Amino acid sequence: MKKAIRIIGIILVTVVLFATIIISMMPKASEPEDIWDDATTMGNTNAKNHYIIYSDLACPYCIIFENALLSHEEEYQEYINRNNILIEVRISDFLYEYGAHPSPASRLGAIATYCAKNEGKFWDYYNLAIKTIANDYDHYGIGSTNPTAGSTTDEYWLKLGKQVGLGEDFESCYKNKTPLSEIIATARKTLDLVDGMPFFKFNNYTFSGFSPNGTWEDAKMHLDAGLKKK
Amino acid sequence: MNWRKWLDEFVLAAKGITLVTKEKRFWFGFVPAFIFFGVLMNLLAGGFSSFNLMWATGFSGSMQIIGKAFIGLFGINQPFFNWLPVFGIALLQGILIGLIVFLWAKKREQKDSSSNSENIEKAGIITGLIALGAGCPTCGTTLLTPLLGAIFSTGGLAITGAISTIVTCLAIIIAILSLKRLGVETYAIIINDRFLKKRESKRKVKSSNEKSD
Repeated sequence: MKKAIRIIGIILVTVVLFATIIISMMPKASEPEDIWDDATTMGNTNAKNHYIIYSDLACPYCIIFENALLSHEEEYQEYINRNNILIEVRISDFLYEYGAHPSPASRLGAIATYCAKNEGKFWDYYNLAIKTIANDYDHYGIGSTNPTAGSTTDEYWLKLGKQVGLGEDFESCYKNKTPLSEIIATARKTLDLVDGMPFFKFNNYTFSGFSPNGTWEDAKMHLDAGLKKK
Repeated sequence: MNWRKWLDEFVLAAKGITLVTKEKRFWFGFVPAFIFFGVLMNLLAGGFSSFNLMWATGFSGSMQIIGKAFIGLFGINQPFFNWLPVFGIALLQGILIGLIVFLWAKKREQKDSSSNSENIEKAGIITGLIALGAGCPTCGTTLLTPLLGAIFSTGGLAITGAISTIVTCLAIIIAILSLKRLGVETYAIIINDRFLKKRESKRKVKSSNEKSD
């Protein structure tokens, strides 16, 4: 009798545990969203498909996903145009604000990217940052510890600015942390919408995370899934 | 605590595991458990995204994802340091299930009424704990995150990293201790079997000699 109760208890706890996880992770259908910021979009603003990427430069799987797309940049561009997709990146210092280990790279990377955006070079800077981080930090943050990119310095982000032709205005924006309040507000808005980082909303197809060994083919499968969930 | 005895038990368990690899019944448990657990760990490595994709892409897409997770178990298209922990944990779990299957079959053979359910319970707990901690805890893409989110609301993400580390360590400790206990039990059973077989064959030789006399 005692054993039967114990087994029933274990089964019940397991079922409740996994039901909670599955229900909260099931794709959520949601209303079409407005664009938060035109400067961080790529493609036609009136496009049929709206793909949103919630990202953080200290998030290893964000880098892996974006780098997988950039590894086939031409194919990716052609895919977006052919399927009439608007890509919107919503970057913030989400992991610095709400993550388990506040990584300075999260905040510094966001400040630098916003400063580049203010100079009209969001995509140049963002894409270069993704490629550089992916190259500099191989196996970037995989595992239970925080990304090694947490050790990045101000010089790291400023150097990227110089590489895309950003000058003194960018540097002073970065040093004065000018866009910080905007970044914090974006992270706050993001918190209400995501389960973790990265988080993707491709039309009505939502998912969080990405395979640590993910390639362009894996990323493309997710892009394709979004087209089916219009 | 008698450390010497404790270490001796580990040595016996290692011998037991080595000996059991010659038993067919061990492999019946090991192979499916190793594959199932390894594929599951590979699927969960990126949070729940693989399952979301399977949900969205249907049968052919799902098969492609599972196939990739399967070949990933053997290190194909996997960076070494991503592959190693998945392979190690799948191996640990495979050995554990293999030992449970072997002991269960032996007990049935010997009509031993002692239960094996405690071992099965422990293996289940280990699987559950390891699966909960899989993914990227710092990013909040583990299976634990929604659960902690439901309890702690927005603070859930901040504690996911610590809890998932504790949960994974706990699972590995339970697995190693279970492995030790089962390994020792297996060693005793195999050695006892060998002794009985030897005695039986001696008795047969003796009785045939007596008959011929």
